[in-house]
Amino acid sequence: MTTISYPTLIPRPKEYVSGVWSWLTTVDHKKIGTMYGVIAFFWFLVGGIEALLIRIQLSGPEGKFLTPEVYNQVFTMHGTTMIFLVVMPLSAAFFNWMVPLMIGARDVAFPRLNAFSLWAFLFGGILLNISWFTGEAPNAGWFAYAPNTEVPFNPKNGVTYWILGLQVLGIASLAAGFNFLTTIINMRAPGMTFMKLPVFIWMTAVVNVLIVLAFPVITVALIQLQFDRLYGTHFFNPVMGGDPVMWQHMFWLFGHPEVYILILPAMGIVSEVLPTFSKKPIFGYPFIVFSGIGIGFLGWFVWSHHMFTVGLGPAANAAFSISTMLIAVPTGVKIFNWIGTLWGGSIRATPALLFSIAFIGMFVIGGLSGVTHAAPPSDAQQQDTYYVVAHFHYVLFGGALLGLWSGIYYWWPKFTGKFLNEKIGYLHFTVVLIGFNITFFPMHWLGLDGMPRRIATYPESMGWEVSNLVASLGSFILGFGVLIFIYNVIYSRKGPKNAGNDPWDGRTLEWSIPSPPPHYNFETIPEVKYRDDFWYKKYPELANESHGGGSGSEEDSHGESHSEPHMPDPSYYPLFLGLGMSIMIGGFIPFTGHWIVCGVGLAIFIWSFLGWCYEPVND
Amino acid sequence: MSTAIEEHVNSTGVDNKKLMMWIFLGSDCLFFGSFISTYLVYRNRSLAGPYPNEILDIPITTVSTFVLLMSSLAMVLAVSYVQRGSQVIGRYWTLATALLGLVFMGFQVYEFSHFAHLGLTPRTNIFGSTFFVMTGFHGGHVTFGVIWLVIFAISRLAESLKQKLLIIGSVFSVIIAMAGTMMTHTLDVIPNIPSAVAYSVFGIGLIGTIGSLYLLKTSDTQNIESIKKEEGNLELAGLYWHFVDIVWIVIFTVVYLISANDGAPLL
Amino acid sequence: MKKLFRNIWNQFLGHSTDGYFRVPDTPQDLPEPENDTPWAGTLKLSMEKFNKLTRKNGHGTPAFYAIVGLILAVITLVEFLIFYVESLGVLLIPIMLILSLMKFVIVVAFFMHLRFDNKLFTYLFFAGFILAAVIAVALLVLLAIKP
Repeated sequence: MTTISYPTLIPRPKEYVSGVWSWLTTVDHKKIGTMYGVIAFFWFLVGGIEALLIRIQLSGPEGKFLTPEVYNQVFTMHGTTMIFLVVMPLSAAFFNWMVPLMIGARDVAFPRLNAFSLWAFLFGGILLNISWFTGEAPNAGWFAYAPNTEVPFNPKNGVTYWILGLQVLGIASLAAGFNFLTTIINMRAPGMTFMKLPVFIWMTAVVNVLIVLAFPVITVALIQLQFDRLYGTHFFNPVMGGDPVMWQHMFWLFGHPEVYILILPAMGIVSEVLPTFSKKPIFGYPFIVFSGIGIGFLGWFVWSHHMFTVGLGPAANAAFSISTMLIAVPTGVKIFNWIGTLWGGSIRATPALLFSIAFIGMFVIGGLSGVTHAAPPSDAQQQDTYYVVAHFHYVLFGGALLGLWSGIYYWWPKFTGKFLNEKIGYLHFTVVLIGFNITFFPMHWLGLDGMPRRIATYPESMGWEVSNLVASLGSFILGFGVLIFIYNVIYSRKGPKNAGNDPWDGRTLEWSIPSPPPHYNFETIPEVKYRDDFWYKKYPELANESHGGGSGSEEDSHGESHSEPHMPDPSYYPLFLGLGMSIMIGGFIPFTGHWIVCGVGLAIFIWSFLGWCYEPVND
Repeated sequence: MSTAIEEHVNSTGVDNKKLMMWIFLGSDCLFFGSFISTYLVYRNRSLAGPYPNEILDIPITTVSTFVLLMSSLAMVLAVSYVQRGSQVIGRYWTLATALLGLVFMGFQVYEFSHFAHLGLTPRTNIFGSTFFVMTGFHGGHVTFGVIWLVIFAISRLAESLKQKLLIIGSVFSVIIAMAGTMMTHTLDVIPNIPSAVAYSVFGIGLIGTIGSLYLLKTSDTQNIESIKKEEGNLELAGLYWHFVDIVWIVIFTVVYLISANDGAPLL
Repeated sequence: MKKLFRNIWNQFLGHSTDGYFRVPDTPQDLPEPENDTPWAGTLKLSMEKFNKLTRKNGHGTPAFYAIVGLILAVITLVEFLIFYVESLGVLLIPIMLILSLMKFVIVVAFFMHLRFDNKLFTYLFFAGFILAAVIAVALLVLLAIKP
């Protein structure tokens, strides 16, 4: 190919660089997924330590372990970290790894964009956490209600860090969202129609639609808050005609779809794990898919249930109460589908399956307590109490994280070629499940007993001591469970590479290729005829029309040569584009000389943007 | 990008990039939708003047709207010519689009500075806050579009990388001077650029742009495949540009035509 | 009558009423339903002409685009003139919204090629657009209208 090369200004790494640069310049979705997972797990440990600090402080009345100011910072960063730096990127790790493998593609649609979203996520997380070292971490809670976040009430830079960090993370999520949607719509293997997609891919698609549509809203809200704080506008300043309730609306317009962004990937993972380990196709595939879509759709029309106590008026409260209760229907449909999948199957109780079953149980508890505050009168009692804390930890930890752990145990052989040790896995599961329930179940009682959330301490006479102490003990059991998982990972690294292509007798395409997969994934792009195509290729006698088969595409595969497919070259620019963007955005934080930092970031950004455009192709 | 991904037969038969562009535009609808919603919610809530009826100038904005509409026309002609194989004419139309975009930005800079002189800044009242932030981010989109179009136009109009970088650098300095003027007039917290500096950067950039455009030589070093890829890219830039145009259509209606008569709120 | 409207709607969008969930490949021309009104013939003829013009090889000619641009300019001029008609009062808002919606649709349909292109793009774009509009209305109802 006659490409002009620009060796000095715009370099491009050689096709197979090695060492650290092979990770920094990679555009391979598997490496990117691994990095997402590792970084997100690091933040999980950080967020977990923050949680333990909170529990130490609250373990007894009149706690003196943290000052109220530090306590505010710790709970704010705990929430923000767990949501934006742990659950979302851990899900993104699974999207990265599994989407191309499950739809039979060699990579995502835009490999460089994919790498860019990884780096933006990394630097966004760093930007957010730099605030610890300047001694002014964000302290206004993860939903940062205005006017509490405005300068007169919050003059330190903490909230500015929070705004700008979230802005970078939002850009990362948006880039990933565009990428995965395009991949799922356009890169499916021949014959894989939408109704033959694995459920996890369906849930990924719904999640990314939500990301793509919800993140612009929070971007705008954050821009407005930033202008309020830094440039003296009046968006949320009632003195000048602004309206703090507008912030609440904008935040929850994003915030409620965000809740489904967090939980739907775990639901997708569970929908893959249960059929595999009960050797049955998923029960009621169309129902589970359409209820996923239904959840994604209804998720847009329930946001004001976070604001029942604001005083929107009876009509608005009633409308949002109804839509909130409505959303329990598709969720319930899914739960019955999962139970139906287990029913009568030949079940193998591996740790992955146990986590999935625990997911169902814990999610039902969290979901039911959620329905109780769908009713405005009862919500008025529960608003901002520990009951709500218990509710969302049951759905986010008991739901999302247990589901993600299930995915880790399920796909670990595919990631590495080795099994995670099963016995340690059982121990991990037991300790985590017990610790989790000991930690969060007493919070229901605390909340109904009137203990508000976000208080740094409480007096002795309230009768909250026992439950708080139990919860704090439970949190350390939970932390111990996480340590067992880390031990399991380290222990299993020494094990033999004995997983083979298909260790679980799986159903979907990723099990048809070696573990770990070669960098081009599929030697030939598979032809798909049935839902769970790989299963029916293994057991053709089971294939009949009732299992999503029917009129598969009868065309022959396009006669591809069997030489090793050429994959996209590595590139420096995703890394530097992410770096430049984060420095530029971080440069808006008002410290001395911040415009210089901003300018440096802009320069890196422009250079890598041009590099991205004019980058030559190695051929 | 390399070959393996693009060889893949697309499931829906449409181009990956174009698909992503449409998803992006759907997402950007929410972005501007949020700004416009904020503006509408805060309409008639300013507690201090100047109010919209004292400050909005419909004739001038109509002209700038017309300029942006015509740039959309130039854009669609550029895409049309490039797809018919008239590569060079298409590049000139692209350049025309970018220049009309710059003219539109000039109107916006004038409008912002003019409003600032009349006493309306983002800090004055809630109308100022919503107006400046919304139209400012629209202007940012226009800026990005101009840069994209210029990069595309010189992909075959300029001969060497040096010339390309010269043109891009000049356009950048024009834009930075314009944006800097706009910001220092409206947001007084941003370090003030002395107007002499702003004008000289602007002048140098303008001279650089005109000079380098004069020196243009068409280059034909690319093969058919890369031209095809560029056609796709221009189509994407076109979609983006038209989207920016329709956002302005909505803003022109909502902010200017509908609320230009808004005065002090009736309390 | 209902059939006639559906006919116009289908012709304009190029959509078939069956199979909304199917992702279509190319805009396909449907067999015409029977005419049930005396004037349906003329309409059909003019729609055919219109289709011929707007669907030629999937793209319009430069002259066609110039005409579309002219129409846009004229609508803008009309908006400008209507703005100074003082007797309109409250009616100004719906008139302006309709006119700008016309401009919006023309740009999206012809300049952005949605009329010529895969319907998948229409779905994707209008998913975002309609959601944004719904949110704007909802926020107005919740915040700006005080009982």
